[in-house]
Amino acid sequence: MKNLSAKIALAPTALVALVVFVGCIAWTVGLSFTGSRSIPEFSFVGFEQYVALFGSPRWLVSLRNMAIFGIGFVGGCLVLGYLLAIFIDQKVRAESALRTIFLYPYALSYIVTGFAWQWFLNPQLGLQKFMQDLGWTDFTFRLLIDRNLAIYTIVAAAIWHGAGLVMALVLAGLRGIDEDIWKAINIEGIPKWRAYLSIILPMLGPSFATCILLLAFGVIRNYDLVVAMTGGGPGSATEVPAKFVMDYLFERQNVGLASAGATILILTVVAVAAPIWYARHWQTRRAASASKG
Amino acid sequence: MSEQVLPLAASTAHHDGPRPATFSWERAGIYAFLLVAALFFLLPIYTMVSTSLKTMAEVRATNVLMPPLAPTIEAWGAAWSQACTGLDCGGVQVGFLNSLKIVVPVVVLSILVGALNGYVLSFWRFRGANLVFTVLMFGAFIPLQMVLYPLVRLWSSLGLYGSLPGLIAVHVIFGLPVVTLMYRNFYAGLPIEIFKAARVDGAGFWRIFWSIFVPMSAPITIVVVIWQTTGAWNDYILGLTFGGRENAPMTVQLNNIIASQTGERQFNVEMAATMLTAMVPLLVYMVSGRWFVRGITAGAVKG
Amino acid sequence: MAEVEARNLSIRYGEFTALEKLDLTVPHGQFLVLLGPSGCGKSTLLNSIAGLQPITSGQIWIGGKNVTWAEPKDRGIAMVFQSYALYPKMTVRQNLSFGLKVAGVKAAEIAQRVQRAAETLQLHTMLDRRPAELSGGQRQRVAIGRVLVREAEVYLYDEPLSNLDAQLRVELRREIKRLHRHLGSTSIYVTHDQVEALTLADMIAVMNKGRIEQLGSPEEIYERPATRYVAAFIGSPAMNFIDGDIAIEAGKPVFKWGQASIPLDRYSFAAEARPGKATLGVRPEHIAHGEHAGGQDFLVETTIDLLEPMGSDTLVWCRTKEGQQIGLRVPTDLRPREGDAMPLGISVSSASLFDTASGLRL
Repeated sequence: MKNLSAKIALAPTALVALVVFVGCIAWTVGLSFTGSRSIPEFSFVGFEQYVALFGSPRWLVSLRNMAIFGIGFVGGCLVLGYLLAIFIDQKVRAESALRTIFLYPYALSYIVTGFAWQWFLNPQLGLQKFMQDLGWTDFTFRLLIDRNLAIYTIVAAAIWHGAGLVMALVLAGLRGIDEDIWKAINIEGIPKWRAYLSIILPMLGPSFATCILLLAFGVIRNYDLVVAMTGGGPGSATEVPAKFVMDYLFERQNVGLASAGATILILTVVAVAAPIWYARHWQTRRAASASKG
Repeated sequence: MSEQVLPLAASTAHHDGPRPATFSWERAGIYAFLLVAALFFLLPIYTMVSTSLKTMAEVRATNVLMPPLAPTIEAWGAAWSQACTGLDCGGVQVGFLNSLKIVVPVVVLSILVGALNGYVLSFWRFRGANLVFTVLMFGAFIPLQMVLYPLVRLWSSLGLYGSLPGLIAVHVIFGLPVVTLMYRNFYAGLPIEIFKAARVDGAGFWRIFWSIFVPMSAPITIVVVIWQTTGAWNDYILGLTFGGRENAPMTVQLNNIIASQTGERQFNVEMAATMLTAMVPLLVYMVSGRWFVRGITAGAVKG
Repeated sequence: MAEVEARNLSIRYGEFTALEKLDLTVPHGQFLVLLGPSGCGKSTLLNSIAGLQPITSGQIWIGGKNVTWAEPKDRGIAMVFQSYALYPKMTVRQNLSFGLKVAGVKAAEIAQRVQRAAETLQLHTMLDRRPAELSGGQRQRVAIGRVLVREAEVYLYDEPLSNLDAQLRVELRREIKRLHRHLGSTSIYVTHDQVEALTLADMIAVMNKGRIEQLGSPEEIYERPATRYVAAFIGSPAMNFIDGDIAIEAGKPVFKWGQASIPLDRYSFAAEARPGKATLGVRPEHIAHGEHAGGQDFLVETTIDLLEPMGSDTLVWCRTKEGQQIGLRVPTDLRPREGDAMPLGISVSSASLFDTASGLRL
């Protein structure tokens, strides 16, 4: 048979992909329509689990937090990362050292990031005490234990972790821009900030699309960081969907409900990825047809 | 008006050579911004290190930003070999060894399978190969929670659940999409003529792979090693779910130590343990430099 | 009036000297072409005139003003690039108007200028398209349009046609020439293509290793190359070079080549003829053959070595007994054959003589 070796070589991967990435997903979706508690059972309950899910205040808080986290984290990383890339691109000294400093958090795990920030913002001995030691005795910096603010500290820690990624990807994009474009900008006397906003930013579309894609999946997967920083607390103020699913799968023994949550998560992934994929696909096709004509 | 313009025009007549450097607010602003940004990025690691070098008495007496007055590595020793998770007081060293036992086979297996997949998908496309690739890329995007429970059931029935091989297998499987993509993109970037020439010379599937493409794969393999080492080392969720008590990696153990502290929290020991957990990926990052960035770029899925 | 001048201009990067004490004056309204191989410093010179390249020493004057320390935008220049350098995410209209908008030109004025540029370059149908939707030739027309709306006094072109295929290059070349006639402003044009240089220029500066080898009209450069380097660089197929000696026989200079001695009475020496090693340069089209071969200053017997038919004519590569190769063009209908004997006639009045050691014209 033609290509037999190639087929044999790819077979294990094909099997794993089929079983894990297709079979297990189907299994999870299937479970979400059953009344499974701690062990799977095959009692069809229709959309009951979804009704229960969206009736659960904890799930609703999780969704709200994912939205806050998503907008704050993705937006923050993009803005800070683009600024860092722009400033580093101004032929500065110690460029390599600065790049190292901005990117190193990305090498750390979310668990480590979470503990570092938890300590840094510790209500008794952290930043608050530093400010009080400076003489600002009534300074209170209770972000981590304030129900309304704790989610924003997670956003800050996540930006700290991820902004370097945007910086690195965007800087690579900036370095790829034709030097003649900059010469044209120079001769036309366009101020730098204007050039970065009106000319360069649109040119970095593909870099930013990649960043958004990567960061968005970080948002949906966000679990470890919350575990390390707040454990979902205070109360359930910083619960997120990924953690909700984990808790209901393994601690609260409600597989049906957790599977419904997981199914919602994957729908979110599709909702995020589909437009970006579609836009890129469309762009490549348009570029291809233009170069032919 | 014209009296003023004339001397001004005349005054440029001596301009010669490069424009002399003058103080510019723009440059000052650039450096100020970069400096503030650098402080923001360095502050957390600074507080971690400085706290880990203090005694608890000093931690209480000073604050997070004060440098240690009498640096001591006591807390590091305690974190390494004495910190407790519940009744178990062996420090993070057990987790360190577990993480090593996980990461090394994961990296080796990922390279073997990923390179082979990339090779097939670049040069030996057959009907159905595209479908495998599409499913694999889809796998790169699914949240772990989506497949975790079925996988746990599957692994239990295969007797892999809670075992080291089971945990390694899970890591390899979830790393496969990105690693395959890296190798595929790398091979696809090589001139196809190399492959054609080898076929004309009569070399077969395995021969071309081992003799021609494996020796050329060093650059992407370095990237994969960096990517998978940091990825597997930093993993928490797979280790938590599939590792069981025996094989808990360092991240899980760190979390257990910090979460199970009773009484007064030993922040200095906690921070030392956190630094120890961060050490391997930090080291990989420092040593690999630009390769790390290349890894991110290569791993950035280009749909 | 916008005369462009480089005075005593030097540019060095560490050890490497890109330009060495270069002086150049381009009178108002002239079309100057900087011609040379890559790395000769022609683009560096253009960029330093534009203010895009820091200089080591010397001055740049434009329109009677010292602009050495001036920003590019304040030099009254506009520039066209090899890679077009269009802003990819803007429409053609936005590309043309963005610079003016930033400079604070009134909207009505912008619209008028864009309109005029679009008319001149026939850009109407593409005003609302983006660069990615245009062909290479159209893109470069837009880039020229972006230069037009600036209404600058000096136009700089950095190898603008190099990325285009042959046919478009010829077409756009004519368009640039027509535009220059129409605008009458000063233009400086960098290229490595001698045909572009000869067809476009009022003045050509042939550059080599950071210096100007010769500055002159296309005719001067072609007919009376100042150095062997210039002679070899211009002309296709290249000039034939014959190494020999100059001797004075009976008070008259002759060119000694093997057994032969060619009288140089009809050659106009730049300075008084002196004996020494010399190189005789003859362009392929100045070599007579067939019935005309006899009537020249010198007749040489050769055999045909190789033929290269070019369509309209045929390149014939001949070889003398001594092994000297000589190339010439003959009409295709002559149907020469390889191995045939080919007597060639050389006339010194249209030839060039160079000092072999210095390469300078004698």
